[in-house]
Amino acid sequence: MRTRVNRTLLFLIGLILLAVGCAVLIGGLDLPRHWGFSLPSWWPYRGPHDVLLSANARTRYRKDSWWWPVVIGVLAVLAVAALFWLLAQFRDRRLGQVLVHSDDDGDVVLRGRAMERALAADAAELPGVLGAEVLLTGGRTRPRAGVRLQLDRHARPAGVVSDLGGRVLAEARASTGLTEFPAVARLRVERHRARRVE
Amino acid sequence: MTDPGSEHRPGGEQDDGTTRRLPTVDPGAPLGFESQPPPVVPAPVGRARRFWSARRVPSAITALLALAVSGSVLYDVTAVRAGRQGMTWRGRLAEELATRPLRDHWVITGAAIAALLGLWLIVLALTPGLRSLLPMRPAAAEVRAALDRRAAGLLVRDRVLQVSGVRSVRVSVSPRSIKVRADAHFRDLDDVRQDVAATLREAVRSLGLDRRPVLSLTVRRAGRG
Repeated sequence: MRTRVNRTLLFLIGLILLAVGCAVLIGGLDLPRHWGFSLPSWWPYRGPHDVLLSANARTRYRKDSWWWPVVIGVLAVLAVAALFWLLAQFRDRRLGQVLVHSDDDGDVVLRGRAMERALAADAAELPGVLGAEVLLTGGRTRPRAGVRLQLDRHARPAGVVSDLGGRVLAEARASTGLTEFPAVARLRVERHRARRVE
Repeated sequence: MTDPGSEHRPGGEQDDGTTRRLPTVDPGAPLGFESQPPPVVPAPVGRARRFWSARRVPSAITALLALAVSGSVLYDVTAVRAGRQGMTWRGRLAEELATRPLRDHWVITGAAIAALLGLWLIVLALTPGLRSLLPMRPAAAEVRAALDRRAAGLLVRDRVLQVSGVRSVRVSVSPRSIKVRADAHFRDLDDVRQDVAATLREAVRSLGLDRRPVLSLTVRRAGRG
């Protein structure tokens, strides 16, 4: 979700910057005359002697009663939107609890941190894995796991991943009763010196 | 096992004649060594999707700049509306915008920077990024995995270094290819090369990458020339 919002906004802002930059460049370098093409009538800049924003254009609506409220409103909306967009980059919605069982007597929940620790401990036991970190996100009925694995130098990553799915996550699925529990895993190896083992 | 026609690349060969194009690893080939106990969940078939970056850093910077610009203009406009003196920078900016012609160097430079910046943001928005993550073949249900590029290089290096006769190895990993340069200090060079090639193939297969990398191998006599 955040990825999609970020990329859409970056694309739109990029498009605006590119369009404005090109419009000014075409006018400023007088490209229509040099390259022999004509601009449509709605084009904002006519030639190299134009200015970016004339005093006339800037103050055109100043007398109208709607002008200042609209300016202030648009600026306020932009500022608030930018603030939310900025804050969204630093927020990690970590899952507080996972719903294990629910009936008339109430819900049985597992603390997210506890489940993260249990999963990490299990993953760290897998052959070829030195250490593991798990972060749960998503909803409490549909958690997702982000797994970071630190491999040892003799690890076979393909085997580690199938172990992770087949043992650790399958067990978690079985013991919590979750029907789906998708995971994203990143595998790393700490930098170390080359060494022959004779 | 290979499709020789499509893999040929000019310029990949070294002039000392010791580089060989290796058959690339076929991810569809039966493997059978992967895990000690058989996985509980049957391994699904299919290709791994690429990992897409959330583009948090460019977004945070763009948002911060947008906030700074809109916030300061908003502050100044409301201050003036409230009967206070406007800040000088806004009057100065309005004057510059209204007097500098488009052919002014500053305007041209600024427009060029804006256009390039815009292009860059569009590229950031449309490309996946995360080039350091190599997507792995789906080996278990509901697990998407990626191997760090550096990790792939280190694992391959360590395995090749175990081949007898090899003194040192350099591995460079790109999203599509793995290049290995090994220095041999004893044994016949062709024997070493054969062993290294076999080890390399096996090592790369054990990485479990979704996209089979193009392998290239150079084995040289250590300390020569």
